[in-house]
Amino acid sequence: MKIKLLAGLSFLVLLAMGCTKEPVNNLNTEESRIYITNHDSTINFSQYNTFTIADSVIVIDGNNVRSQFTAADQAFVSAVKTRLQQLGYTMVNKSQSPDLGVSVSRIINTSTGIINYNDYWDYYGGYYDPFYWGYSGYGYGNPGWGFSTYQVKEGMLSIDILDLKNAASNNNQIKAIWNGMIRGSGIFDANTAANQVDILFQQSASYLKK
Amino acid sequence: MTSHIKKSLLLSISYLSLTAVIYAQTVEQVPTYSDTKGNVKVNLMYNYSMPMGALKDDVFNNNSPRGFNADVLYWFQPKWSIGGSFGFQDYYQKNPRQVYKLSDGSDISAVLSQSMQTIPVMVKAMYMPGAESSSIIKPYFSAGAGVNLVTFSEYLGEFSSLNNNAAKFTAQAGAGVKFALGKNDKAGILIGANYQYTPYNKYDIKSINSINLQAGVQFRLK
Repeated sequence: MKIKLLAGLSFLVLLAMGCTKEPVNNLNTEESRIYITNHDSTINFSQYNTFTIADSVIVIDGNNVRSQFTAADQAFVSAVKTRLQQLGYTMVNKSQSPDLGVSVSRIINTSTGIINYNDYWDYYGGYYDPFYWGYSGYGYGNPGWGFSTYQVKEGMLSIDILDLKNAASNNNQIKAIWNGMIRGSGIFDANTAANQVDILFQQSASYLKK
Repeated sequence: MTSHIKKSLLLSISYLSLTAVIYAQTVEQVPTYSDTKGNVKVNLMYNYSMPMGALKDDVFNNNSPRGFNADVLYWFQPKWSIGGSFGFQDYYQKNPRQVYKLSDGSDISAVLSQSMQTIPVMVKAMYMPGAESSSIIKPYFSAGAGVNLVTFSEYLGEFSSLNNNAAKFTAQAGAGVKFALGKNDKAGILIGANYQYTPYNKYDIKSINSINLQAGVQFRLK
């Protein structure tokens, strides 16, 4: 009888384990992604009219930093251009003293598995010399916000908007005034890049729109 | 759980109910009378849970078809039994993508998934007024109290944002009917319902209350 009881209870335990719905397993690729935006709340974006965008994508892979421009990268850069223009900004060449600098970065799985915005900012400053934006001799000002840390599984994509217009008055520092991050599965896909960028800018349109 | 499995479970319950009713109608005067005193009986029940109150309003709009309950009861009087009970229920909900404001000032667009597993471990009593009768159909009433082991987790997309384990007081009251099978009341089919009350008071969820529909079997160990 005891064996019968134990067998019955074991069956129920196995049944329970099999019946549990695991949340992550019930997400499709699109649902797995999160879109995080942050901005400098002291900034009035209406003061900016023009922007320029970097012509390649920074790839931060562990401790290595390099640039690439794959089909997916092109799709992301193109989508960012379009979206900013739809928000009322005018794209100009770097030589035309743009108010804003825009860059797109890819962060591949890190050795620690944890990354936050401040770490990313250190890598960023190590790649783009302020000379790139036409501000030789300047530095980068850490924007001061630090995202909560999330465990990296598949990599992430980051878009930064930099304040070039006020770099001189910011103690010769180029400050990031907006950042959008995409985390999750299947990010680096040219077919979904525009939709992903749209989500980032839609949730920031209230203060970015001119 | 897929709709296929849900259909199978519902069909199984329907089949059990139908079997019991046909048996009750076709077999007359089965000598089901027995002196239940001293018996030890096991109830194994499938559990379909319907969240109530704050649990339904704030977290899980969906009912949970993923659960079970098991009782081991000692019949210390012909109509009364007492013993142990434990169960399991899995609640899950996936909310459509929307933008959330985080405490650090950032905005996050995500599909929010919430998951809760409850394991009530209780002392339970059952009263069956017709336990000694020869009737095939015997109503019963039950009540229990103990601890509910609750695991609650939230995910933003595929990223875990919250995971908490807690042990909370729980109480339960229920009623149902038993369809006796075989001679001397050796086995039976149970169909019933109960109300489970568990105060929670975490993450703005005041309580984890539910109405549960149950169907299963009872058999005698001793």
